[in-house]
Amino acid sequence: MNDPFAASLRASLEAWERQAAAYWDSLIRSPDVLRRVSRQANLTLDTYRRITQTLESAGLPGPAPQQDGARALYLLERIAHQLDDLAARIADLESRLDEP
Amino acid sequence: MNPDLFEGGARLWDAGLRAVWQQYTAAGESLREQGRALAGQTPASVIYAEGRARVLHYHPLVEPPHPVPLLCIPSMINRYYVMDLTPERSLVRFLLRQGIDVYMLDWGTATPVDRYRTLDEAIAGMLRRVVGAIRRASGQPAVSLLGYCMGGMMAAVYSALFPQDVAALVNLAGPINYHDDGIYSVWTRPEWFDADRLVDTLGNIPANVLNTTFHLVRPTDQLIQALNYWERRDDPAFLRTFAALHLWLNDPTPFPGEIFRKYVKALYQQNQLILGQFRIGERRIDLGTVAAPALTIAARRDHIAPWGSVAVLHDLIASQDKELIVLESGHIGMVVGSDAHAKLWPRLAGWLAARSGGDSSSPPT
Repeated sequence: MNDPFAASLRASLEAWERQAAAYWDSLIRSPDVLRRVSRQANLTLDTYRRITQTLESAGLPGPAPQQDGARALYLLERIAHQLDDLAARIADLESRLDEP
Repeated sequence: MNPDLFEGGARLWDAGLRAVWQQYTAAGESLREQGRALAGQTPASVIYAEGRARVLHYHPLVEPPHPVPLLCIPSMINRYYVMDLTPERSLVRFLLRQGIDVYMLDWGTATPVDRYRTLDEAIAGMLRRVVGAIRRASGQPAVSLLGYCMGGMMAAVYSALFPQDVAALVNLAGPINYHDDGIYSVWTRPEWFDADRLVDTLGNIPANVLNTTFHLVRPTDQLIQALNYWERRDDPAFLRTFAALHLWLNDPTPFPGEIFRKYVKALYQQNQLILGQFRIGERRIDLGTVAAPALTIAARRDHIAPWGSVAVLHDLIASQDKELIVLESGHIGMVVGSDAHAKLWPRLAGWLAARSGGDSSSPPT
């Protein structure tokens, strides 16, 4: 790095960043801060849930019908895999029976 | 906030950091575009697919490769291509050059269907089918597993569940003890983290939520990254790795909801794995039964999986043939850093080659 401006900026920034990161780290580990963030996050999640429930009860598109469809698809995929697993086991047993 | 710290930041901003930051943020999309052209480019064929996931079999770079195949299992939170970042900085390519027969599990992008997929099903179902597909493709009775981050935990659990499938186990920064001073252990404590409410409300954990949490660990690091870019923006070799890493760091995938629920509650909150209480289906996981040759790799500056939480695997397992490496790097640096390239990768490749059959004294030609 030959640019004196860049060298000076890097030295200053690195020193400042170390201090700022240490301060930030103590902040994001503070039980008091984490409890406050948690309360706010829970409020946001509850609001989100109420809004989607209201939309759905009004007959507007919401996530619930999609979730029902997704769950059905998941179960179908799971059954298909279980059948595949079963077929593989049967094939394995057959090959063992064929062995002399 | 300490006023001196605030004023110091403001002075730096006015002294030139503003221009540096503006150039960096303006280059964001261009960097990601360059990254997309470089990341995950090692030639491979898809040998198995299931839902959104697929298994890549990389084309050997030396013939014949060692017989025992290696399956790389990345975290479900980030993209697999961190292990194949650019042609010059690719762990996968390095292993291929040493004659290792490499397969990669790409978890893909979780959709609403994956919200219901469980950790039990992912390990005892899907991973078992993936290993079965590799066994059939390679004709080998057992496969070596290399798990990174969450994938390390999954590889260790799989080795306890299905020992006959596993030729060797490599845990690369996979946490085993979750009650440590790592920031994610602190953030997920039950006093303030309600995993049920999150999953019940959102289903899959959205990628942007995960990305924000990653950046919140040390947000000021973005300023250092901006300066790194600004200083070396005319250096094409530097820019290639920087662009691919920039893409990877900003390309998270949604976390399947039910898997997140169990991962947080059973592991981060209850630390069941190290206590011998973790269950997959009906089976209790006892890591003390793992007897496969094992290599545990931890990093002292890892703030995601603190080194002691990873290294504990080395003490828990019953393997007679086991080795522990503790690096002086961070969680990502240990996979893509220049030090990793120069020092770790050759050790890792040598360790694997010696346990992959064929002639381990030199790469096959």
